Amino acid sequence: MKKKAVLKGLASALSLLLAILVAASTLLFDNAGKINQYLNVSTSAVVESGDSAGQNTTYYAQEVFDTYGADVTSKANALKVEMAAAAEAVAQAEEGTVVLRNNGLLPLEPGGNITVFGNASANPYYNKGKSESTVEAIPMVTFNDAMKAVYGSDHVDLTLADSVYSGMGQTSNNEVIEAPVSDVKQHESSWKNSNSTAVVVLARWGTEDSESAMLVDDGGTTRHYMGLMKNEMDLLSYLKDGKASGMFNGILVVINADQMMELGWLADYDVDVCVLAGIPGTQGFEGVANVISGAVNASGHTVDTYAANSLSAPAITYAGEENTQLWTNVADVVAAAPTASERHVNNYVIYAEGIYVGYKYYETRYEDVVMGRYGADSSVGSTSGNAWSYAEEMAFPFGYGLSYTTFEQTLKGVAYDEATDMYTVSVDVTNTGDRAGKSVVQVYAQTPYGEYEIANKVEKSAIQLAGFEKTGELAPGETATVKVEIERYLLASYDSEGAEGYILSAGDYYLAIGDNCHDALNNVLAKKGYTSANGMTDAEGNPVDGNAAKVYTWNQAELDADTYRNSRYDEEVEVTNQFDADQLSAYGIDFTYLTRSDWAGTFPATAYQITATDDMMTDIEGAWYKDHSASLSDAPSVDDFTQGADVTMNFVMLKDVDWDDDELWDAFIDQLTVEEMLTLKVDNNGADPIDRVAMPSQARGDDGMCIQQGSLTATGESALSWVSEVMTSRTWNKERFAARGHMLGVEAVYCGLNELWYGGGNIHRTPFGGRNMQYYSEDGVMGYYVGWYEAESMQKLGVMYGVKHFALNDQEANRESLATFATEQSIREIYLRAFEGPMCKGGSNGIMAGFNRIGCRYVATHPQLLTNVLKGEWAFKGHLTTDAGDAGYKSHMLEQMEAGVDYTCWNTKTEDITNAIAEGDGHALQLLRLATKHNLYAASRSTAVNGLSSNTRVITIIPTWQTALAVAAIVLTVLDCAAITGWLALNLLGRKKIEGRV
Amino acid sequence: MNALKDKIKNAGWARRLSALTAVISLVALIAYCIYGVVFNYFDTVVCAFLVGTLALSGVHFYLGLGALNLLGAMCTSGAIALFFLNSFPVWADELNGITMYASRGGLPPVIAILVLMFGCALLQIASCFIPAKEGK
Repeated sequence: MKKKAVLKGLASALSLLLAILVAASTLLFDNAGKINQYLNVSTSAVVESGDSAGQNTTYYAQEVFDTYGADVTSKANALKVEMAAAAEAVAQAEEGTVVLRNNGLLPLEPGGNITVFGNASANPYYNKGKSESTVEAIPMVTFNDAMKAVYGSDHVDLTLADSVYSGMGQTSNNEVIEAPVSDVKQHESSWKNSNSTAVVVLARWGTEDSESAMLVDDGGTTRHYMGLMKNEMDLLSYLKDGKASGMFNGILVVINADQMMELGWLADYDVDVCVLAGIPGTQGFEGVANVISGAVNASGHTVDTYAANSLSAPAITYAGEENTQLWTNVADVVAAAPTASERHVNNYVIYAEGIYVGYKYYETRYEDVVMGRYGADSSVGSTSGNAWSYAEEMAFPFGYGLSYTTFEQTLKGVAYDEATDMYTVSVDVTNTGDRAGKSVVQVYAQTPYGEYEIANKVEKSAIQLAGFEKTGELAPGETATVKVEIERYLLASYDSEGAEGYILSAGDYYLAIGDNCHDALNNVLAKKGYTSANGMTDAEGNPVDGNAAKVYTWNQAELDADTYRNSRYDEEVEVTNQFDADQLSAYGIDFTYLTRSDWAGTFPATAYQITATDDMMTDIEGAWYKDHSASLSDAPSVDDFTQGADVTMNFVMLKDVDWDDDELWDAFIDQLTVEEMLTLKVDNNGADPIDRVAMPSQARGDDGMCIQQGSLTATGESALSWVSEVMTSRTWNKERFAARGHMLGVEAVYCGLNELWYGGGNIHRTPFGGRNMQYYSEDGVMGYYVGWYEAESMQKLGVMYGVKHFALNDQEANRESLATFATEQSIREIYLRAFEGPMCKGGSNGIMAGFNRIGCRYVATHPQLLTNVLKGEWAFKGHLTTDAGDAGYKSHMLEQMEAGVDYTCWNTKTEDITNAIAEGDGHALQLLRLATKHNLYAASRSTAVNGLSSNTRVITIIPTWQTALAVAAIVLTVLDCAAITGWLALNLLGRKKIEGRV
Repeated sequence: MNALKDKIKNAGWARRLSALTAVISLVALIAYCIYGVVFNYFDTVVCAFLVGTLALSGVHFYLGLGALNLLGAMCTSGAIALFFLNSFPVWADELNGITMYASRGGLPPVIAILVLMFGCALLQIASCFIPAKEGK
């Protein structure tokens, strides 16, 4: 009897264990790619089956292997790579650190004493998600370490870091952590008589999946998060008083933030110096310290607007946690979207500011104030409530940055080359100071804004970045001639109402150089004949007259709607409206976007409340594939295609096959089974091998701030944490952009990755963007250039620059599935432009769609965005992924494939596709074949082909952990069955005995 | 009620544990149904497993048939495995502090239901280990 109970108990316990093991194994197998990357395990191996000796099969990254060593499993080689990455990160920080204010205190050369204040000095931000060096041999450089290294431990007073700030923790994205000044004063004896310079570090933070707060409760008082908190004000007041009494010889403020802090208070606290250090990664503070000490001359410039009031831009009305809007009938919307969760259909924003994002708002309104038109001086949108004043609203404009020397930039001439459709702006740059340094030649444009534009709602920024170059280091007295090439295309405007395409407006054009965008605009105004008498000021409100000699102008007699009628990247594709269906007007809602022709009447002072219509709800649900597929009259049948044909071509042969060679691509894809094509369609931080065609496994990582998924093959360590993307942008140096792309590509190669989901192309629409540190700038053209050079250098190594999150995924608050309404002009000129650079100029072969919606349609099911623009106008041949997951609104796999998605990130579900094909949907099979072509094209232009020859075989390797789990499941099953069988047998035996007795 | 009390009083420990399992599985079933409907995670197979647990443990209590608590344990195991698999988006979102798996409801109800299910499973396993001994 006891034996029976033991067996029965064992059977039940084993059943539970087996169920748990099966569930866990299912999850682990579904995420095998991530686990394999974590464990540094490859799932394929290359075997040579013929005579290919002597054949060089390193098609990509040869120069990397020549420099750092071909053996990626060598720890010495990996260390060489990371040392080079660390050195480049320091160089990026040196050129990306911006001196915003300098009353002569900088450079602060070694010799004097420094006292460090501010909680962020001890608890700064280094990088998104990484606050320590991941490479053991390369220690992290903290801010205080960097200061001690430059000034010497004996000269840097870190009393507060070791006492008050110890254990205080970091400022979060909705709470500023700073010590009460009373705590600081308790340690006053430490610095009271040292005649030191007070260095104060202040931090603000943004993070994935939520925005920085706009307003915070600061001890019962509501304050701007981007402004100063009471403890910070008290600290600065204390330092100001200390400076006045001679306790400090100066005050230096360091900003540890890529969120655009309000900095209009510097003079109020008698601050001598303000340095924008941004988010410098685990090595970058060394570069920041080098700039402060003068070991390196400052040459960084802002790539965002630093408004005095972070809430003064028109974009604020629909942004962030606070101002993202709810549909008035949200319950109806939720009920109408059964496949989406509630929070994925609740919200919308309207980019009501149109093209007037960042500096384009402040500068355009400034020009109209100076020119006395369009009601620009109205109090609407003014911080003070009085007439709008640029000087009151602005702290530091876009492009601003100081040097320790002075430069004179002289416009020598502008030439237009019709063959290349480019302007070349020639500028002589002379170092007129007494220190060597680098100068940035910034070229801005103004294009005509007249009756046609007003009538057709074509908005024009008074000044727009057109191009730039940075000099090499110029010795004192040295002159260099800099040539800045500018594509005329960047001067075209998108006209969605009249021409329904790009136009070159009729009227006067200006190309101006300037120290920043505001300076360039003042030069344009000078060319137009305006002076300080008309109210022209610099950013601080001082009267200025501008310099007309720094402006080149010409007139275009007629409006030109033809030049860019067809795509620059594929002449056969017409460029025309693609986002009409995403406009509020398409849903019968009359909404007026901000226009400079009526500042007071169209400034979005309050949010417009939308009641979602039935059509909106249908688009939000987004299940349209079946109806669409059924409506296709010429859809092929499944039988029209051959799958699983005999293999005659290996994967490596594709590397030189032209995209247009349909016959060869079709023949190759005919070899693949549906299951093999789906291997490429899903993602698990990579793709499994297809050994029948000798295609190895692929691995992908995330992202440009630091490779987070994937580790160095040699050591298993994560790669180093980089300076933020914005810091790279702030170098304004195309060599640095290329160097970043190159070094991250090198790291990817040594991590075994052939794609990085990167950065990337979204816009700093407001100071509150949770991922501002990952995105290039507030300006699409700046992003166009940064992405171009980064992508180009990374792609050269055979690593895909998978720029994300395409497109208009500019805010993290309610980022998942946020309905985003914007004019087609702003979509094209601002929000797509930062993607256009890496995709079209940099040759990127990867891109990731965002989580958001354009209008009401989820971007990954948006055929106009993905197929018509990306793969049509931009002629993109690489592969496109969704952002992560398959839940809710992301579950419409067929709609995604129809729209142009080639693979689905962190998603291994394929039932929708296999079921459709099994049910005879030839169109679905046709789409799968097209996605496969994109996946194969991208992979065959990457390091995935390295090591392969026509004689290569690829064998699939099942990792040990998977084998172990499978064996464990089998063993448990056998034991469970044995226990059940034993128990049944004993029962039967017992019954027979009883029957026998009877 | 008195009959039920007598039944419990006269039953062996194995059947008493089954009675307790039936009660807890009823609570788990109700909790799961509410959770599944409210947060749109309802899975008929999980529900069927829990109904199976309830029915088998209940019948085992009344009739004392030896195979029923083992089958009940298997049903509970299935419910646990499937419910845990289905709850992956919640774990992924909550533990990573993200929303990309579109999870709903958070971890507390998931953990509470899992605790109830594990309670059932452990009671049934214990019940299986106890030699069958009929009451009067």
